Amino acid sequence: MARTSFDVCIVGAGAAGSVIAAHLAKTNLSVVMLDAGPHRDPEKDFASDELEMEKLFWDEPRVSVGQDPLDLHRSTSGKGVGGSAVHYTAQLLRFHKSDFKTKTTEDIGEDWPISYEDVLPYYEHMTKRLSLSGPNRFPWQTFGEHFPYPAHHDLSNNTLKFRSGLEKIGMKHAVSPLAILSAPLEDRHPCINRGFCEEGCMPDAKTTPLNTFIPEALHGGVTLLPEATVTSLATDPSKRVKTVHYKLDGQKHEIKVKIVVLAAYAIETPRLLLHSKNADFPNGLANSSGLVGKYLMTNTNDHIIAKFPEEIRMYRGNPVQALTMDPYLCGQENGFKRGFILNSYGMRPVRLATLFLENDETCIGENMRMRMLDYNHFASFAMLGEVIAQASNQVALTDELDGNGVPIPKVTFSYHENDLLIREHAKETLKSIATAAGGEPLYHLRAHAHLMGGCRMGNDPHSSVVNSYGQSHDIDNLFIVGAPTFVTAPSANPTLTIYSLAKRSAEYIETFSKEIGVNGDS
Amino acid sequence: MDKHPKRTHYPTYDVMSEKNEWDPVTQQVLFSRIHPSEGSILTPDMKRTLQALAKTLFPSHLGEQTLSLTMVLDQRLTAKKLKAFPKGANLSKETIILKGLTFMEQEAITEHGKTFYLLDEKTRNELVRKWRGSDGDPSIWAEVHSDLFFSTVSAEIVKIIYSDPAIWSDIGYGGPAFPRGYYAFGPHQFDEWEAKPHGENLV
Ligand SMILES: Cc1cc2nc3c(=O)[nH]c(=O)nc-3n(C[C@H](O)[C@H](O)[C@H](O)COP(=O)(O)OP(=O)(O)OC[C@H]3O[C@@H](n4cnc5c(N)ncnc54)[C@H](O)[C@@H]3O)c2cc1C
Ligand code: SF4
Repeated sequence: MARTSFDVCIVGAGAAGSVIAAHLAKTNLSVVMLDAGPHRDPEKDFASDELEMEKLFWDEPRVSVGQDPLDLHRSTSGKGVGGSAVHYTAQLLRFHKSDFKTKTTEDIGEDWPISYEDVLPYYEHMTKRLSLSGPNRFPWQTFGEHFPYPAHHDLSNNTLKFRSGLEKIGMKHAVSPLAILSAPLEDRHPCINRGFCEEGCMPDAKTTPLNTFIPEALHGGVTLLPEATVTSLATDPSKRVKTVHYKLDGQKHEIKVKIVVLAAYAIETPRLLLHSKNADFPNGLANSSGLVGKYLMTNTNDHIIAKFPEEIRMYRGNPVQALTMDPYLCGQENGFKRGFILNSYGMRPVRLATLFLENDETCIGENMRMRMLDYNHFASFAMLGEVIAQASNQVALTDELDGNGVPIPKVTFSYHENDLLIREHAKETLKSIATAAGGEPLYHLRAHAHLMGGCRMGNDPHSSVVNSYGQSHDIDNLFIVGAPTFVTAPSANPTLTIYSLAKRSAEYIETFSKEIGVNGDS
Repeated sequence: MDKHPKRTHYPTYDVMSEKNEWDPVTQQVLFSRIHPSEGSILTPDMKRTLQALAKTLFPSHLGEQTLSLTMVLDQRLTAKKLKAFPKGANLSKETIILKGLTFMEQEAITEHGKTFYLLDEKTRNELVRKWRGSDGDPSIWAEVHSDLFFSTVSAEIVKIIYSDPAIWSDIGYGGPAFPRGYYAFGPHQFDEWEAKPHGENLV
């Protein structure tokens, strides 16, 4: 790359980074965006195969410890332009009003510095921009409405069983709001029910940064550098970020910048900040609060596998098709706080066999074979549970360096007792749904999904890392966007909120650039 | 002949018979899995040990498989697919597997005077049982505990087994589905190229 000076540098071209890039592409700012992974073409670089498509996940070393060490690869990461959103299952929900103030409403967790109403215009914008499909009347309207595309109509047996179970036990249910086309959009085709959403959508029916914000950013002149891993940030004597160091083709490079936007997800963002410490910022950048890396969260995502007399074939259709949000705040009546949602959730064989083994080490050999021979008779229903933020759940650095000379991160995680109560309640609910639908619930498979937190937002610089726009309290030209800024980990999937908050940050960054006199002449 | 207590529901289904319907990239991926090129990480001894180990851990699946586990694993190691650390560990999956295979041999020779793959089935089973449930003899398994090695290698073997089209046929999994997709929806409706519903389901 000839040019080494830009107004804005975005680190990470995932869900959040790509939204910022697309917005700033319409201004006169010069923008460069780097991503550690490649820029893939769905038709040429994807395959209908689980093992092959492992390449979409983050593959660098990470130490995962604690009482409940997290899976930091398969279920919670992405590497490459588009980020983890390339292979999300694309259930996109708004958060609930109470999600932004759990401290006030239930005396647990912390309040966000913004409310549902602050995010609402961005939710509405993203619902259209992402061409969400969903029911005409969604039973839980605050979580989504006015979907521009009709609800997904080809429902799998897995989903039909799930809905019939819910119906029988008196819970509401609906087809999920999805960032998956249910009808054509320009030259993109609707979903063909192929089922490999978590391996990347070859027909391009799923709406991801790769078919929205990335092309928009490129069209607007953003310079995109794939396979460029940012290794550190440096500040100048005025204590602003000035230089971004990165590695490309094994060579070290640097970019001079006026504004930096970190959008590298929940492990790499704090890792970069901690590693970039210097004499002016001895605890790492943006870390005067000591909270960089702290309050890391996930969502519990346990499955019940139930056996039915007839064939289900859970591989058919997109994995997540229907849901109930009835238990969203069920804790209040059941002796715990917050709650969960439930989904039908089909799995392909590698994922299912892996979860069998992870949950039961005796499930090898004949044991595994016997279970898997019934694969086509299994239905899989899942919960997505809120997880309470705890300071002790955190990203720190080890002394060992990776191939780029950056310390390998160490992630410590243990569940809060409330998380376990949610899990237990969800397990019993899932079992009763399966039984009511005529199945025999056989296996409870513990898993988790999504990462959030590590650079939480807030109004107080002593108890948060960034403000509600993602601007560092300590360094005004450093922004953090995406999952790391989350204060709580609601049970509604996070990414519609990630896209929406990124849009809100992008508008603010545009205004801020004018305030500090950045005018596109870098 | 079949020693297994349970049989496939789909004795005549062959997912590979549909391979011409798959997109070219997926065809290529499957072709190079079934006919893997030589990797460069596993030594011939390690391959023999791994094969014997797979036979001990998964006697169930071996007769039904078409893939060479050792070749595919070697290919994955060579392509640097096993750089990440398993949960709770600060060593890569690759290091854990390579060291573990060496330690297995070391202990087999110290204890029984023979390499693992030359031991009889009973002795192999006993050794594996001991290793899986413990840290292992500290004079051998110091750098990598035996149970960490076993959880890591089992997870890798499981992934390869369930990426084998022959096993897909056994379990009646439709396999790759692009560009064709699925169109028949509703109870007891399947696309005609999928495994035929087995007898008891024809209601
Ligand atoms: C299997 C799976 C299913 C999911 N399903 C859903 C769902 O149904 N609904 C939902 O709402 N969410 C879902 N998610 C979560 C969703 O994908 C994430 O919440 C979202 O993508 C996070 O956005 P982000 O921008 O913060 O990070 P990402 O999208 O992960 O982007 C981060 C990017 O930063 C890059 N990067 C990291 N470090 C560096 C560095 N040092 N230098 C350069 N680049 C770097 C990475 O390569 C990556 O591309 C799912 C996730 C997975 C893995
Ligand atoms: S199920 Fe639909 S959205 Fe998912 S990968 Fe297939 S075509 Fe794409």
